[in-house]
Amino acid sequence: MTDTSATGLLVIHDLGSDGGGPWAHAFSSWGGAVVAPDLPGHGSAPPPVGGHHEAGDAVFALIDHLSPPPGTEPVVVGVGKNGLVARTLALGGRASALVLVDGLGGPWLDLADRNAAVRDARRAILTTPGALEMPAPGTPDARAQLTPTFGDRAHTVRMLAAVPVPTLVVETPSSVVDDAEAVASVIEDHTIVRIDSDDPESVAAEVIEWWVTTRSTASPG
Amino acid sequence: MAAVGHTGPFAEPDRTRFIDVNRTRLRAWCWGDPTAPPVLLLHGAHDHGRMWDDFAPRFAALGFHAVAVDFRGHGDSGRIASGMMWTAATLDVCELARLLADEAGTPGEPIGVIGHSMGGGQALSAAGTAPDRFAWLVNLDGLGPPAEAFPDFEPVEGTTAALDQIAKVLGRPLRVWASQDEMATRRGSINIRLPRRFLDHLVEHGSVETEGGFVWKTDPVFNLGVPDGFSIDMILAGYEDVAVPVLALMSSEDDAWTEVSDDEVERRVAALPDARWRSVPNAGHYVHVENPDFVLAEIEAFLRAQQVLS
Repeated sequence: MTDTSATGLLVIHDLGSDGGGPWAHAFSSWGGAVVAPDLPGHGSAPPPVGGHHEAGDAVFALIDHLSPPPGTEPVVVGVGKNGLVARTLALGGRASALVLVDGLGGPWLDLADRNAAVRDARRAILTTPGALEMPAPGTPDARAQLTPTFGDRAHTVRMLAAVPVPTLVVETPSSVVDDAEAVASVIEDHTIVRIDSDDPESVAAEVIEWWVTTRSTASPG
Repeated sequence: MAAVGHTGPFAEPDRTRFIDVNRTRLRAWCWGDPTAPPVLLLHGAHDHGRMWDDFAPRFAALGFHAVAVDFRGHGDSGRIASGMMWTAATLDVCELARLLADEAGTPGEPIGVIGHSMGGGQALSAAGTAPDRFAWLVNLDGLGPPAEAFPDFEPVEGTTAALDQIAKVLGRPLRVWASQDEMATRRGSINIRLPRRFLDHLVEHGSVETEGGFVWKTDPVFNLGVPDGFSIDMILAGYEDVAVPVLALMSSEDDAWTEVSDDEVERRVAALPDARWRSVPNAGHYVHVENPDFVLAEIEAFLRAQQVLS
């Protein structure tokens, strides 16, 4: 078992993914408690209230993790579009460290193109088969794939520059940005790694190695 | 479709029903000939479809089937996951337009929409999303909040406060008010120009009795969200997609949500490809409540100019 000094780990899987199960399995060697819940409409979790998937709603689904006692804040891992949620928890004092897996945001768009992306995502929901009806239990929700990511680079940089905890940025071939190093550089205490796969096992290995190093650096002896 | 019993100071809607749409169930209130051209009426934040009780029958008398809905998270409609429900509600409106056209025997034809405050913004959002589903649009003091509603956001303090508020609201029971009279008084402290009888009307249909008193029907998470960089400029970017003719009727008196200057109204209207606006005399934010005669006359003139009415 890896020595992670019993710090908890909260993994927030991507929208439209298979849920938290693969992440819980991948982090089985983490020393502390690992929480990788299925967010509403993913894995075995029932659909979100009202059936709509919105970036940021995971904060509400994670209510039990919004008020950790001081000193027990977990390492928060945000994957893909839910990097926004992980970043939010870090900014809001709910994380001892932050990991963004292809989670910086992007693709970066100007104002007109961001509007177009939101508009087109809405139009896609109106026209995608199954996206307007609740999915049958146990079937993937087509609608969960149709949430636009956050593409405002200036806003993202402003938020990231305020992140107050050690941060690991993991970039994989699935990333939608090509300037991750520049964007991540605004985070005061950051490490960025590029790996060849976005599978949870590969990501978990990088995260555990980084956290062991970070812990030993922060708390020598 | 059920008849509505008479309560309160206004004539009751002719009919009410629930409509299953876009993964939720919405309460609808209907006035006028159900075979007439349908027009959607969209209320503002924290309100409900019954806020149209005074306006709707007069508007329907122009020859329309007026259908007011309770937005999701409001009134008797389905609940919401968070206050970040804008897109979900926009899709509701788009689908309602399609369904009402179908039911009117005019499938694929666009319909009219009138929205107040948030409902006005939703009407614009829906028209930009599905331009083939809307023929015309009237916006009642709903061109977005004043710029002061978007103060410079301090990332750590602002986010911490937002998360604290989410944890607080989700972790406590609904506030129970001792009486509807108390709720109306509270509402009147915000919407300072609304007549007492209208405040009482909003409370009567916007609250439900529970043990120990009354609670608001509006979902308590409606006010909650996480910072996402939203701005007036993003609203105006969306306006460029609104191809239908728009009439905006704006408040002229100081009131909640009326701190948008005439110059700023001009700027926002100019972002709409085909829009005109009028200031409603002697009216605050609820222009159709405070000066319904002027509002109805302006809408009728607009619809005649658009050859919707002959």
